[in-house]
Amino acid sequence: MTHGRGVDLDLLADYIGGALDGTPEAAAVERLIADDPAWSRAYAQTSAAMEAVRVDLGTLGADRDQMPAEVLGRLEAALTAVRRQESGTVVPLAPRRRWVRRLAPVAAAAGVLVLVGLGATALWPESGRQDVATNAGGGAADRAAVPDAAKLSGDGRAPLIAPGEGTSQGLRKDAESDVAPPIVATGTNYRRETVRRLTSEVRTKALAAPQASTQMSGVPEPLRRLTDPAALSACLAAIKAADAQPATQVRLVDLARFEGSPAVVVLLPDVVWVSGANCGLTGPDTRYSTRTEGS
Amino acid sequence: MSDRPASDEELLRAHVAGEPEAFAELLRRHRDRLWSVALRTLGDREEAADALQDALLSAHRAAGRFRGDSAVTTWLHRIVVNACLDRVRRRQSHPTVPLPDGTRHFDQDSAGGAGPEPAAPPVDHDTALVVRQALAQLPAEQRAALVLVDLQGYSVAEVAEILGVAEGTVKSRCARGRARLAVLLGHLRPDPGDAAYGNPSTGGNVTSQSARATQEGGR
Repeated sequence: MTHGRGVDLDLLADYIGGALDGTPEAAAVERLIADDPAWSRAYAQTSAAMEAVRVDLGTLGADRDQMPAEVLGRLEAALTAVRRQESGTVVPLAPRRRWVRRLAPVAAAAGVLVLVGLGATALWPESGRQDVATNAGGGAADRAAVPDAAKLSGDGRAPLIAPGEGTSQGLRKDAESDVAPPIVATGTNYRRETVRRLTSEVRTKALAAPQASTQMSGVPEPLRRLTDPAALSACLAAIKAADAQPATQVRLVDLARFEGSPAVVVLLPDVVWVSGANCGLTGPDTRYSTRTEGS
Repeated sequence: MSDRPASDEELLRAHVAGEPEAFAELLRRHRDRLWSVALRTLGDREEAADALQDALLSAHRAAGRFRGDSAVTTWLHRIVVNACLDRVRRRQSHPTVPLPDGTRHFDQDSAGGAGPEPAAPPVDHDTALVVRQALAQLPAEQRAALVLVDLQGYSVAEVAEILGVAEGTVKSRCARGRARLAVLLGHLRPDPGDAAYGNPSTGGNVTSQSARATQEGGR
């Protein structure tokens, strides 16, 4: 490509792109293209090249860009935090790991992680075909986990530990009325449309039937790590720190699924927090958070 | 029908009126497009997430000042793009360019923590990677205009509204951006002896002429 004189590529591009329409510069460029072989040649080549660029840009497939779940979770958590601050519901900050220090010994004293199955489909018949199908898809892993979950409960049954309730397993209110949360494995596949309501419903049912022992879907395999009290404590601490509520009380933990993926669903007083299997390793591994219904 | 989904404007009004979930619903509704704009404009996931968070918190606070002169999506995009461009301007003294595998050159003061991360979801051919790299080399204003027009499919008029500039400016930024990309992608092969066709990144005549021609103000 040779040119007898310089061609201003930006000016030529402006002309081709219509940025000069109706201006004196447009007429000037038209004359250059008509009279100057270099401009004429450059015009033809640049027009074709710019069109090729449009095609190339199409390969980026902007429609394939989906916001990653962790980014969405982070944004929603930030919005939730701001909303809570604006509504004046922020709990006064307490020492960051106060609750965590309590949970570990309390849970360890229990000797086991106690799980409960509440029968997801029986509880939430309206949860929809997609959820049922997804549960079925994850069922093999869930079923495989059942024996281990049973071991955790000692006898294969699924008793419930309710917060604030003294139980035969030895859980009790601690001296400062902070309590261990009930930890369940309902096998539920939560969705963002329903998690607010359903998590409250799980807790209501759990508290209403503290000795409930129905079929247990089990702990999804990727969440097995969190059956260790220390790991769960770290996870909950990370969640509460991310929620700017380090002193808040956890009301329920469900080792379940969220939109098909294994997830820790944590009910705080007015927020449901959903974290992934890496919760507590480097942070909360947030998948989603939202206010609870009626909070 | 009462089952009709709330419009964007209704959601924004509900948010201003105190409905706690309205703004989050707005985010969920437009999350992918907003993410795409931020990711393509900044070329880095972490930067994009940070910019989006800045933008959304700003929008969350400023919602009461939305007057409905433009569509809610236009308003949201404007805030997101401005947040992205603010970030670009802030880091201009220490520019970072995404590497082919999506890793970044981190500044000394930002080297901690973040490891290699894909600049975007993986795609199935090399062209997209090359185009993405080339796009990252454009001036931020040109890149933002191209992302909105050529990737997101907004009209020039809409983008002018989003960016707060004249339509002619949007056309110019897009056209010059495409021309630069044409050189970077090899569609336009300059004569090595013709500096006027030089690769913009080499500082040839295009750059100097561009600097002159860019004094277009609000055209």
